[in-house]
Amino acid sequence: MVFSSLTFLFIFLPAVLLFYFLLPGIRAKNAVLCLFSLVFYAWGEPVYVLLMIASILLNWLAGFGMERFPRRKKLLLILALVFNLGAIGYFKYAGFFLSSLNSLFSLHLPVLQIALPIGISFYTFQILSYVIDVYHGRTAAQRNLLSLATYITMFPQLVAGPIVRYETVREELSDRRVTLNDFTEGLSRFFFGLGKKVLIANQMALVADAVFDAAVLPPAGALWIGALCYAMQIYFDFSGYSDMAIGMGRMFGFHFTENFNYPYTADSVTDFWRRWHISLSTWFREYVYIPLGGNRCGTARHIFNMLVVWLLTGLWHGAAWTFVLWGLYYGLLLILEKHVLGGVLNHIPKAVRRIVTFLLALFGWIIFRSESLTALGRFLSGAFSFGSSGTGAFLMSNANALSPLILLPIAVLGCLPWTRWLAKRFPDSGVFAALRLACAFLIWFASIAMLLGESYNPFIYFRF
Amino acid sequence: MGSMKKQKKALQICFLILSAASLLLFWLVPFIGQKDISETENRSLARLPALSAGSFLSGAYQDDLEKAAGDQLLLSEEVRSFVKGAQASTLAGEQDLLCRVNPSLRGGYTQITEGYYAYQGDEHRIVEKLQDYEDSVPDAAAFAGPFNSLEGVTRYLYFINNSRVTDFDHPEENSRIYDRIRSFFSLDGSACFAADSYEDYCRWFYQTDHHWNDQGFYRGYTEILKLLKPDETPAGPGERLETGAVFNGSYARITKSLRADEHFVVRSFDLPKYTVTLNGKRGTYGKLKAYQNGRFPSEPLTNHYANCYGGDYGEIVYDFGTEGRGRLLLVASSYSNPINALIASHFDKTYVIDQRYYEAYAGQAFDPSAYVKEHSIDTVLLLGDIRLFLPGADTEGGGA
Repeated sequence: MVFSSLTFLFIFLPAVLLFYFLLPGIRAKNAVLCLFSLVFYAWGEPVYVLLMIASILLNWLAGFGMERFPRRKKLLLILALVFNLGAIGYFKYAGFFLSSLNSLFSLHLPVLQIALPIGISFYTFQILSYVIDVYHGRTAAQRNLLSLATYITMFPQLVAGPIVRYETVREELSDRRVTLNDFTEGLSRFFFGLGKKVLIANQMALVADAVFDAAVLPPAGALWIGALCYAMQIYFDFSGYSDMAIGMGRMFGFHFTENFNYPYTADSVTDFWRRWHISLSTWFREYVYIPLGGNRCGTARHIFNMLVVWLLTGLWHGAAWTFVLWGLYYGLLLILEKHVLGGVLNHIPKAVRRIVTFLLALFGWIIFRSESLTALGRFLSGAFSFGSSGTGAFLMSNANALSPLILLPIAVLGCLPWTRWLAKRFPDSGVFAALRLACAFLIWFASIAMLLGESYNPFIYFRF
Repeated sequence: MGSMKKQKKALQICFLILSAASLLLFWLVPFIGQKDISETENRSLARLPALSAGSFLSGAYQDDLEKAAGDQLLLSEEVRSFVKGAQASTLAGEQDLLCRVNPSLRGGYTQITEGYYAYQGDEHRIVEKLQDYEDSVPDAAAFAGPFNSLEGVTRYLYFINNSRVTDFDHPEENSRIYDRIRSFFSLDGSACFAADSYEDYCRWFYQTDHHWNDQGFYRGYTEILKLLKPDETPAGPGERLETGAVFNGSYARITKSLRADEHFVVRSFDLPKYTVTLNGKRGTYGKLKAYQNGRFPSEPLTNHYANCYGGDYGEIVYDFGTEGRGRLLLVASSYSNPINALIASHFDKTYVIDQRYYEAYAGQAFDPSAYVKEHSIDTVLLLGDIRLFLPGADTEGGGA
């Protein structure tokens, strides 16, 4: 089930809210959340929900055992890592690994065709944060199975993040309250997130798909429009989901960490990754980069650490060579920024730095969106054939590419932090608060109208 | 400060009440009853599915519930209709704007919906676009095989270049697919029904249907006769009559863009008496006479082409009760419907086979060799558009 489905909005969400607020006590509320979350997951994955239940049990036992048997905690950590990474490795990477072996060494190994359990990349990372933190003693093991199950399965962030570290919600799992302000803020945030997804991302997807999936390579102008729309699609899609998750979390009394901070206004690649998918960057920093030695080592070792982290970041996004290339692309850009350009960047005007950073991110999205390295080469060869004409004719003959373009200026505007500026400018304004809620309500209605009018409702982050 | 807090609280409560009311819209459906038909969309609506373990595990329940939620939600029809209308207006506005910036764009294809276009800004007509058949054209060899191996018959092919295999921007290349298809057959003669230009195409085809109009099928008939029996004089040209029926063809039905500016014209011929057998039963094919007398359905989406000239059958047999003029096997798609009798009037008996429906009627796949022997056939004609010759290729769009 996805948040932008009518089933979720009109059946699931009202039902879970009703039960959640009717039942008293934190245990009952956790039970409602856990049960509904399992239904939510089973809705799209009736069989793989068993894998998730097994994962909850095993990790609960592992955490519990680490405290109970401190001398065996390394073994228990290894067992938990093998199980969690083994599951994600098998379901997500086995097919890619085997097909790559076949291609590289001209083998004919049978390639596994396994359906990817929804959200496995997200919930595996959450579980890993729990067992690793328990191992290092950064947090106490959760003795209450229901509380741990609630943390792992919690449907708001189950399939698309943000990757909530156990430590972030540990206290709220056993003690939380929902105020009128919390609930209103959460619901309006959910509506804004839904609007980002349905009104902008889905429309930008139509343009991007028409360009990237065209049987005949579109002209250069159309390719760049498609790339720009994809940049908008992925931002509004993913940040919209994060907004919905954070908003729903707030409606249930949880305070998840922010996942996006206007990434397209970043003035360097380093800054971009401080603003994009913050929970993933934080996770890799805490559990891979720092354990490898971080930047407190020699230049060579630091470069190695960064390449490892970015290779893994690329692979986390998908099991394909394009994702590997995308990860390494960012790894190299960051190495360049840190070890070659250094302070030079500070002498360049901020506006120029922002434009260059956006263009670099745009180029990254072209790598990311391409189905294969061949498709990437084809796209780039077309995109840099500046003499080619026919963009107008392409748009005229592709309603899907032309019709949603009217929303592109709104999307670009939505990438800028003007709402934050307004909120700071009028912190206590009743008019501003009323306008904000009215906007949220209008966006909710417009989203429903669009969902009813359109059957096209893709979700980029479902495969991660 | 206190009153501001109160104001804020009142505002939040209002917001929550309105949101709760809208979130609970679907929960009213069981109380007010489910709708069956959408008047505006002219289709059946999805109803709430029954839950079972099997349907849940297969995902069918989830899909059906999502469809039902979309169809049964209060005011969903009106909202859908509004959104579609707004999108169409936006698209038209954007296309107009582009054309103002670059007037030459009016000359090309303008997409109406996926796969369907207007050409040169002609709002009255819907066409398809040349599709890429390079990979599937070799499949015509499989279709040709059984006909190439027929013995003791003369073989002809008549290929119809509809808009699906026509590039109006490059009409000089319009016979390319026909030439490739024809190369797979061993033939005594062949011809192609092609338009030289968009204007020429408009003469021969309906505005919103993939079939040829009365001018087109009469032209097709005369060209076919020239191919099969060049010494014989064609019947007609017959009497043309504008029936008053507004015709919204397959393209209009698929794109849901109804037009009101094409009136259905029929053409009738004085032919000798003959009998017709439809899937083994004597009967009447089509309702041409009723149309001539002004009796036809008035629903906006009526398929007048099939209703008037006759629908698709696995086997239609025409018997003109003569001898010595030969027997024809006509393997065709619906393009032949209005000229079946015209062609058949030049033979003693004519067997019209539509392979898409033959197996359902006869209980076995069509075997040209056995059929030719069984009915002492001496002439075979293959008549249709690309989909007749590539039955396995993309079949989206207007039916053949």
